[in-house]
Amino acid sequence: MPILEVRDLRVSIAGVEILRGVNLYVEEGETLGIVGESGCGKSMTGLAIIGLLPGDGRVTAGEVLFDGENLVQAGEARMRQIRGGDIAMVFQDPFTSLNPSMRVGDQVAEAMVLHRGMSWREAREEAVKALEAVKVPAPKSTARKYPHQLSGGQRQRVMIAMAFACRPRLLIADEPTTALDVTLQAQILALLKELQEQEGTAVILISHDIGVIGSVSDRMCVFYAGRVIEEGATEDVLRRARHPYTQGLLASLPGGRDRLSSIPGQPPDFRNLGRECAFAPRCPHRFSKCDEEPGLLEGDRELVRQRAERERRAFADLDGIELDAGLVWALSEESARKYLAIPLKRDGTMFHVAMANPDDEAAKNAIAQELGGRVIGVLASKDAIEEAIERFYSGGMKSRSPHRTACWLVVSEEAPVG
Amino acid sequence: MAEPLLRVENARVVYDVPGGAIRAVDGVSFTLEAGRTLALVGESGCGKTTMAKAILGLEPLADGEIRVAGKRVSGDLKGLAKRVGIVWQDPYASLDSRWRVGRSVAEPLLVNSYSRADTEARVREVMEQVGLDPSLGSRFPHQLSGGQRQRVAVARALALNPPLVLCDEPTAALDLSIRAQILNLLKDLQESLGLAYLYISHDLTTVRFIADRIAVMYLGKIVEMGDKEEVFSRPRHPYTRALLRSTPSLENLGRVPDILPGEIPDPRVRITGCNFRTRCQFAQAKCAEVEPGPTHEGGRVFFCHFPLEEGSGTEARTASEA
Repeated sequence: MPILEVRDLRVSIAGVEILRGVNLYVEEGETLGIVGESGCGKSMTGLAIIGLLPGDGRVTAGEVLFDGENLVQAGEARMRQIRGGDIAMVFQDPFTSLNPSMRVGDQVAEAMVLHRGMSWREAREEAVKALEAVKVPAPKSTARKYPHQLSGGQRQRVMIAMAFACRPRLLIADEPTTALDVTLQAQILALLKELQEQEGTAVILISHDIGVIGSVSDRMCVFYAGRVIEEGATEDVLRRARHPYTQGLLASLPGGRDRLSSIPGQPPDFRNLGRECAFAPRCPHRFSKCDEEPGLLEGDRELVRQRAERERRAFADLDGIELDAGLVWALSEESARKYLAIPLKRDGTMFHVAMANPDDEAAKNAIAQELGGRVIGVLASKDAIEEAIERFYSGGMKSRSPHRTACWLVVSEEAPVG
Repeated sequence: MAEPLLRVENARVVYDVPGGAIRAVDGVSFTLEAGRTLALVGESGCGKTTMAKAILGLEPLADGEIRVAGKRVSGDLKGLAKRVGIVWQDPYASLDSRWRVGRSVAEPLLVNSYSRADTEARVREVMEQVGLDPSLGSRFPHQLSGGQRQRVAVARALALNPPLVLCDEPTAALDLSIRAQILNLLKDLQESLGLAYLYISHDLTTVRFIADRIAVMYLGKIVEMGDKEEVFSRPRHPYTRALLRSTPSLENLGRVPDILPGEIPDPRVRITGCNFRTRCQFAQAKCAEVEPGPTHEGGRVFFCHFPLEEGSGTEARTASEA
């Protein structure tokens, strides 16, 4: 059973819904990465879990189940027990989250006095050990220093010592290395990993940096406009992203190229979100069904990938047709069992071809109904495919908006897997 | 040899602080040709931003010389803005929040005695160059998106048509998808206007995209400088390699980056010999005694007694292609 499960969490600030049904979970001892751009709700999710929403923020629906207990219902007294005890936090900027007028050793000790019932004398000794565990040099004398006397990296180590002081079962780390240089970032990430493995702590790591998430998380969620839009094992999501937004983010990372691709437009204004998919206005694959917000789909990425590769191969050496790097998709996971739509390009115009088993009436119906495509026929050979594309293309596809209407049915000789 | 657009020669910037003096920039020399991009990289406190301020004439040099387009940067800053523009990290902080952004773009023109009409025309032109609708000039910074604000900052830097633009972490405060737009814009502008950039950043993935040459700084000194691909694929200085290896990469999923132990030492304390030896795994007795001089190797220069072997470099770990 997951140690933490967030179910359909909705949060409003000043009447604007900024978390719009967040679903996620963390297993014991696991690191869940949360990635997304500013304003996507990733930090707010962390704050909502520990009941520290800003003044006018309210949970309007949903549950935060920590070890079976719904924290949304828990009172403030109970939350104070949990915060810093079972659930610890590390924030981005250790300078603003440490008390400037208190010795750092006392700040580490305070948590143990409050949560572990230690005397101050005991707790101070424990605090020195905790500082040693996070590899602060000269822990004994450092414990007597004030935050301003420490470097940024040392301050973040103190924060981590505080977080681990009470052996939390869950640690929420919100951009813990964003204010640090890369060499210190690497040190802190390694330290977090080491302590987590020692203590078996579950970690939620929130970061805008996909590289950070990729290097330490086991699973990850991608946030967009107050929702999780993609979730899965980190390697799966990063190597086989299936949401166009995730793909766009990955494509905008500088690699060895001359030009970066960027996602057109900007994130939506939460006040004007309609019923459509929040990413639809920026999405290269938009079509009529995107007028309604999709749910999270479950599925076997590897299976779909293999199938997509096989189906794409059918188009790989056709004259004048380019395979587009975009998403191979279906309307729902259930539909994906019946057909797959494959983006192709001709003369720079994108169009989609849906592939399905010719003997599967349900598949053909699904394509016709869900995509508005039409059956071209059974295409048993490359020549037949080429000819059908030519026929379709010359039939005026160019004049229409490419991604909304160019869904088109090719029935393949190969049956879909799965 | 023709005079390069920017020539920094043995520049030294010293701050007197209680308990000593900090040599924030300590004998730095480099040149930048017109139309090219040199990236200054290094950790906080390495002196890269101080270097930029010195080029803008905002920090007096204790020693050495800086020349922009052949003219020496000195106490008299008149006309310097026509030769150097600057884009700072955070456009929210670098634009006056009470000014309409058009006024921010116009200000350098007005200060330099442009007429009202010329100023208006130039503001329109430069806003279009950076991909902004000129009508946005009547907005306040908070009414723009992060990407638009940074475009305004770029427009202001270009207003006087300088051949050289300093960019101090211009994308560090931006989200990934916006960052890509701004980086593309900078490249496009370089191509169409022939700009030279001195691009200051700690983010090696960005630098790899934008720069032609790279200078790695540590504690006020350049430790290695050379062609981007050479430095990235075959670093000769151990610090360069440590920086490259610390950067998380999508090529190494599930692996915490290699660690360079320790932190930048207290800059008030002078280190004998090589600055980097206190953190260097290859340091030997000589490193504490003799400060390494420059070793030239083709277009590259590095300062190390025991440089990494050719070919023992990092496996280009910063490329983040998924």
